[in-house]
Amino acid sequence: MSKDTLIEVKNLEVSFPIINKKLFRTETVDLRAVDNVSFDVKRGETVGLVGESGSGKTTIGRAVLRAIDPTGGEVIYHGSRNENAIFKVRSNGRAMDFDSAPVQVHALSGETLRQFRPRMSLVFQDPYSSLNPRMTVRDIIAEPLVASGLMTKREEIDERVRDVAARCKLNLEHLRRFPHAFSGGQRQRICIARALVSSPDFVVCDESVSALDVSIQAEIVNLLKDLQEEMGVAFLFIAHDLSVVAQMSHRVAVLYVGKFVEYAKTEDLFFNPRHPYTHALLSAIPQSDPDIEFDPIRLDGEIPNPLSAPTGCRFHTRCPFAREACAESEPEWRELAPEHFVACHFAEEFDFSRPKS
Amino acid sequence: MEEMLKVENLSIAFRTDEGLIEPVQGVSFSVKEGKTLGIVGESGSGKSISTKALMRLLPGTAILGDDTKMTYRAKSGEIINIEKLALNSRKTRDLRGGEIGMIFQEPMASFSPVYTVGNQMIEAIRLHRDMNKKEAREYAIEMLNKVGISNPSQRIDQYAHEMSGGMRQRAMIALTLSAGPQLLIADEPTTALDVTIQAQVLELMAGLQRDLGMAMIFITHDLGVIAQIADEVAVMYLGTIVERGPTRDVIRDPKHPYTQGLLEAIPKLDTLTHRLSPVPGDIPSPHARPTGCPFHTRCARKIDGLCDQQTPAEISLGEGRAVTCFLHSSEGRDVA
Amino acid sequence: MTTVTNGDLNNGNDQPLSAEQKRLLKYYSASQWTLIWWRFRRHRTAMIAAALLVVMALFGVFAEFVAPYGPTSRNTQYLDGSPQLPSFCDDNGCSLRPFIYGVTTKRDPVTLRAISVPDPNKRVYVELLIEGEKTDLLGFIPTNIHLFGLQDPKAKLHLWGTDDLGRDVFSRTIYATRTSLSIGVMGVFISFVLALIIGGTAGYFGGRTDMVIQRITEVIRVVPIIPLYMGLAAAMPKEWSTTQIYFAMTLILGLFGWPTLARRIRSQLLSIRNEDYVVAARLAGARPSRIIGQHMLPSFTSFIIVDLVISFPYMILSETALSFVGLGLRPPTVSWGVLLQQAQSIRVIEQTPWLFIPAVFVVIAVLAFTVIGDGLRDAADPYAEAK
Repeated sequence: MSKDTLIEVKNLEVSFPIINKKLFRTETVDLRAVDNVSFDVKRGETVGLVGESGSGKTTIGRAVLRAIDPTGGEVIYHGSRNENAIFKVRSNGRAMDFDSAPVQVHALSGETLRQFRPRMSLVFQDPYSSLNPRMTVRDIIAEPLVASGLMTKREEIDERVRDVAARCKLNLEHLRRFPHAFSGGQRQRICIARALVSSPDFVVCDESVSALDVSIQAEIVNLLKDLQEEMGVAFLFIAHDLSVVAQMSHRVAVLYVGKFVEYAKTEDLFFNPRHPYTHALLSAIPQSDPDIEFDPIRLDGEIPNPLSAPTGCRFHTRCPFAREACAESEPEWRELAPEHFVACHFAEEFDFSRPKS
Repeated sequence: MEEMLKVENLSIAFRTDEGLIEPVQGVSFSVKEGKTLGIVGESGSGKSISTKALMRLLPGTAILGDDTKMTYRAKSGEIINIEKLALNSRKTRDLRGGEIGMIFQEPMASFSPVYTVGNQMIEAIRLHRDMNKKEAREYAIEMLNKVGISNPSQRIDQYAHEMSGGMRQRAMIALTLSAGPQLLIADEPTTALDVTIQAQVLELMAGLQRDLGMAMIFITHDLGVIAQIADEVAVMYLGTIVERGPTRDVIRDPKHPYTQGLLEAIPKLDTLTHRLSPVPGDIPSPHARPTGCPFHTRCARKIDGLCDQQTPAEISLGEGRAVTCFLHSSEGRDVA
Repeated sequence: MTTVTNGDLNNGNDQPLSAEQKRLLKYYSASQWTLIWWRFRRHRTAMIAAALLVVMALFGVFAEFVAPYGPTSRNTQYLDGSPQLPSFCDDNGCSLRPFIYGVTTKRDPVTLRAISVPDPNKRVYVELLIEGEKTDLLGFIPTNIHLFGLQDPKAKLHLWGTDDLGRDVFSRTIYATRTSLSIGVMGVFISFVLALIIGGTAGYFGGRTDMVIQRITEVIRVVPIIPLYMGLAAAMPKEWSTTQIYFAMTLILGLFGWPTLARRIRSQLLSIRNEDYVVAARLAGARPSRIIGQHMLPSFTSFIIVDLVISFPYMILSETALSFVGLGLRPPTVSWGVLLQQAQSIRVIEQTPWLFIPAVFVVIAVLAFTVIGDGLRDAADPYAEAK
């Protein structure tokens, strides 16, 4: 545990009860969307979470933020280093201390949780439904300050809103308007401004660029990177598009049906993947170079439903390298190379290295 | 006519409360037998609407341009002028499905939730082929098998919501192909699918195209998919085609600034952590079309006095390539 | 879908904005309510209906001014009188001002009773804003100016005839408009407040609270209305003044009108609860009261207004029906229902059909509210323009 760690996630589990009402009895089955996931996020870095449907990546993001509640495991916050953080300056003087000792985020509740909220925020996927159509942009961005009581004086709030908005390339004219006046990319910028207004340490970007056109995507990714440099924010970048994740993240984790299968520094993961699923995922991305032969690894079958996850290694039903042991026991989460973790019985035998250009 | 489909000067206008908008202006392209044309564009480019016009699927308020011509050579050899077909005539109904088939982005929305998949397939089959119910059912099962759905004889009696996304899309393909079209229009069919499933479906479509000798129009915003699946590509911006030609040539050597910008904006796996280069600015709204060249408001190489005043015409560059840009015209070269 | 191109419209230049840009600027700065109003304005039928309703409401508010006579004043010389429609021309020539014929009393040769007969030689002119009966506008401003009246103060103008007691149908209908519309408003208001509290709690908290409230709502909805009203009407003490009965009526209508509205509020809240921007508000640290008040209520207010507007006709029809049957308001209070109660017999249909005119008002009011509700519903979709 280095001094640099901001968020520590240990054995996180999120299950949803699925109620099956039958005629004379009610069956409840647990859908384990996130099953025993552990990772950490360092200050000022971006961790990318990648996975397909049912991987649980969105659920992890929401659980860490306490937008939904984890059903098991721990989420620990190691205090802010930012002396100028907005949330350290409270108008009413009664500030709870979240910095001198690690905070058990998963256990917070009620008023304490409310006071903790300014330190973490979320940028949603759909720029159309995440902005209240009846509030002006200025009010939308100011909401985290006003709602949690961080600031009460109008001039202070206006100044802070203008500052954050300017960093997101929104000017005064924009602040007066309503969301319906803006395109998808601009709305996402408003969302980002809202997420950063309370100078949080940690922002979860939940598929924040997936709904945008390629060129707008590039713009937003650049903006996020700039903001990270300026403000030292850590991002949890959730996406299904590996190329975008690669641009944003320092470290990337690959998920499959609720579990981590690989976690490494971006370059290591993309040029030296160790898990067959990561390899298949990378080979399935169509490259915009017609000379590179598009030869995706054939994965038979469909992505399993988390309700009926395969036994042993969850990937064994589709893995081209599956053997008997794979169906019998779950693979261990091992550090195969420095800071390169894999969950696969036979990872040492594979060489999936890809050429850099 | 050597091409199977030839579209000339397609223009579509809508009368709205805020005036007349023209989401598609003067679009021309053609599709050869057995080949795939990719249409690439961002939102607002008019790519979906253009192909809906081919199937006469536009809403009643749409107005086609006066010199719009859509000529199609049917399986029988007959030449059909699509723009002259009445909206709901017998000929149009035969055209839809039997000659030109369409698959959409969201398969869940394309299947009726109250009928089984098999039911809908049998209906499509019997509309376009001369078979009785039993024969149609067998044919449907065969098609489901062809698209790689396991246990087709059981799946045929399932409902769309009982299938996963990838399987639904494959069922959609089976449904469309069972009517035996000669031309398949695919409107962002893999955009909503996971990347590994997308790879499967793309492989399937390429294979089917080979086996059945079908022509295909593939619409997407993903240049990567285009690079892999299209023989020819047309790049659309704000309702006009700005560049077209064989895929390999266009991607390797893009001529239009927009195409260049698009290619540069794509995050590439082999150059990580560099700054991405977006195309500056936003797509103008169709209500506020820029005068002159539609792209000039965002073009780094625009020629003042020319690009903002006049609309460039399409210039042929030989070998099937064409570009709509003053930089390649004589006027542009004079000024530059 | 209108978007902002390249930052603000002026790009920092100081050039004056073009007309098109000015229009766009107004559009971007318009709040949701303004947008809804603009969209509503384009719906011609709804605007006409709204205008009609406004006129009706004004008639009701200023009833003392609009109606030439009081609701209970009688003209004993003109019982069961047919409508007197002013004309501009007759055998003696035309005039600019409309007039009616004065009446002379004659003896009916058959029944030997004194009846009033219009005299074509006596012209009495109709004038606007004329002095007439003394009355109190809005109940407390003494005045004697009426919207129209006759030059000759001793003559009477009965635009829509009189009933068997000689009371002017026009005046009574106007006063009835006031009563019926105001009962509608108050009834809707009471049920809205109840529905908001009950439906709001169910919708916001969900889960068990919701389930319990749902069951209670269902029980109330299941109770048959007519026996219930009859019972309540029978329970109302006969000694109660008309005002007391009036308030009791509104209370009863309000108390039994809330289930439908509550259900609508609940379902709106349940669906909005999971919208991204509500989640965003929660993550911003807002308390439940702020989430409901600042974020959820404004969102669904536009939908609920539609439901509210649609509730009016039900209230009005309920009151009309009850009074018609004799279970609601009673004479001397006038409401549309009370007026229609007098029009129940065959004799009326045959001999004095003008007593049915209040029914036309009921129909117009109900239709107008329904059309406005439709127009509002079309105008209120916040994403119709945004996407």
